[in-house]
Amino acid sequence: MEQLKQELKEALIEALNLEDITPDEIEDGAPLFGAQGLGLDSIDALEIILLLERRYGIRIENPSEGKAIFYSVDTLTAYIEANRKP
Amino acid sequence: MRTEHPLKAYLTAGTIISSLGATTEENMRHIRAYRSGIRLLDDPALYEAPFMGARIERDEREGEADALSGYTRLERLFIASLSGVIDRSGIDPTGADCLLILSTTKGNIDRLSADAPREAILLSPMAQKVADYFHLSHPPLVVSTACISGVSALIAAYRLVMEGRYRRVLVAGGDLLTRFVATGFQSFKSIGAERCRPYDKRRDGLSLGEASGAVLVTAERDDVRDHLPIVIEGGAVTNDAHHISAPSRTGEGLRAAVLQAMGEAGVQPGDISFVNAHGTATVYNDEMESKAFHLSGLDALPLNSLKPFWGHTLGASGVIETVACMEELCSGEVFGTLGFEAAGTTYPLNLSDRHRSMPLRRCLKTASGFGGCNAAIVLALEAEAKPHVKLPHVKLPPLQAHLIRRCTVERGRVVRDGTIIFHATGGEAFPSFIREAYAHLALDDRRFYKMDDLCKLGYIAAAYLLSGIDWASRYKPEETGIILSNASSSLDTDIRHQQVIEALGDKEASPAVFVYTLPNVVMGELCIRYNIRGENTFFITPAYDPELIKRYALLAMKRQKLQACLAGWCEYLDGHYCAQLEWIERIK
Repeated sequence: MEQLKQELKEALIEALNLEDITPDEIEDGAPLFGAQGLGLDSIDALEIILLLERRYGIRIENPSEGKAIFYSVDTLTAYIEANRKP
Repeated sequence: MRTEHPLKAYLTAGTIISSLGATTEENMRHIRAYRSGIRLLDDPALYEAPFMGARIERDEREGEADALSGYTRLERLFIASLSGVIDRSGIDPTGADCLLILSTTKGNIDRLSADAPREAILLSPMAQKVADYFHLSHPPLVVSTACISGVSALIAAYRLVMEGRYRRVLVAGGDLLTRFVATGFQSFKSIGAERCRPYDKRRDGLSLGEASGAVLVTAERDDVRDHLPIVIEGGAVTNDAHHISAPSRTGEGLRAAVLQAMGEAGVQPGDISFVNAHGTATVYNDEMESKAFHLSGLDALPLNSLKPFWGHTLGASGVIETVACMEELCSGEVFGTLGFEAAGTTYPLNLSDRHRSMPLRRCLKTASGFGGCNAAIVLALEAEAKPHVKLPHVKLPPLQAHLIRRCTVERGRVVRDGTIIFHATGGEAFPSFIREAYAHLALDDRRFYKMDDLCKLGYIAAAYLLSGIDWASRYKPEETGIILSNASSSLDTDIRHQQVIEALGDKEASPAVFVYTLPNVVMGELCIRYNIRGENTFFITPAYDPELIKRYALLAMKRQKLQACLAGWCEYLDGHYCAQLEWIERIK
């Protein structure tokens, strides 16, 4: 789990061009979207969908499903653990 | 022959080539019979899975294949639609009083491949080829402001004719349905599973289309030969200053464009007979429009979207949909929004899936696009048109504007008003230069790292240009605007998008790359950064033409609320970069 979180943070930083941020600065439970969090937006959400497909074989067809899943690194890792293709 | 009555901008000889046919008549016949050009396209050369779209199936002008063999598919379409306009109006386009404006988002993008010469994709040479085919006197202008390009080009034509600069302006819009565009919109999950259903409860996305359309904007009433005279009464362009791809949540930007266009026309909502809206059928676009029309007091008026007939034809849409508006005004019918069943927006609009006959006198046409831009134009039957207050023979004092400041960014240096204010120590290569400049400005803006290189260049140049100018306290956001230009559009990022789909596959297209494959997104970024909400036009020219850009800024100031404007050149390709920006304020 911890390893997956670390891996995910690094992948997010790369995929979303968060160049000024290090993995340590992303808190597991903090919101990724919106002004309080990392300030991610709808384009970032689409990039996360691509990332999940590419790395973990998880498909999310409807971007609106993503809202709860993408809330934080914690929610994302839980979803990946539950749905990843072996 | 010069007309003696007050100067008006007539709109005539509209020609449409689309999935519904190669003439305006054919297109109108199919629309009247409720036939759509959208179908399931199953073509791996376009996208690896079938999707809904509208394609021009037969090769246009087959009989002239030899004469047009040196032209690309899009160039042939432009030539065909412009030939239609010239035939119908009977004008001689070669005169010094005639200009051509092309509107396109992606031009010859179907020619883009890893080894294609860059020149084959550039928009200005393409436009020049089309202009040369007709032996036009002036180099053509290209407007590329995302999905508002067509309406934006019509507004430019209107302004130039009303200024007396040209007697006639030919406006041609065109875009192709390509793998480039299909993969990009798929990456945005914007394409619906079924034919698009604008404003409907069941809408789930747009359908792409391709088309070319052309029309003549003319001061000569005699050019109008086969229909009731129609005039353009006003037009405006605005920016949401909200997001580079997501429509505004409030509809405020589109509302401002609508109100400014109506203000210029001198009309109230009650004077408008119907609205032809953008209506792409994405959930958020249509919702935004419903709010904007509600806020503008237009939600009770008959309204339609023609996207279910042609699909979203991008840079052509504003032109072909305006031609349809002309047909509707002349025949007294508001076309139905094919497939509409039940209102699916917060503020229900006055829609019908059936064509409605009614007396019509004036219509409002709108468009909205990536980069947060919105455009609105008012057209009226001449008999109903309000006389313009200012007669052309009353000589007004020339409008003047101050050049407040100028800033140039190139070769590792930033020069402001003749003084070098930053010189990169790490060399002039773009990646290191732009980071160094960003650090030098001591800005903290996470958006910066997300931008493509064209936007980073514009962002840094604007930051140096505007630092220390206190304009926000003097002007309202809607009184400020941006007019930019460059030579290679967004080609640098276009190549990146193409590389991704060629190397990794159609479904690997990155939305964060695709969103930057429109040059006006740099204006969108600057509008967000500086809360600029007025005029937004992006021209493509072979080289920087400061006179043209400044003149256009003055025209916009004259006709709209615009008081201050960021104007200039922002060019980036293959690591070569040059930005030359000016901040201009109107002299009151």
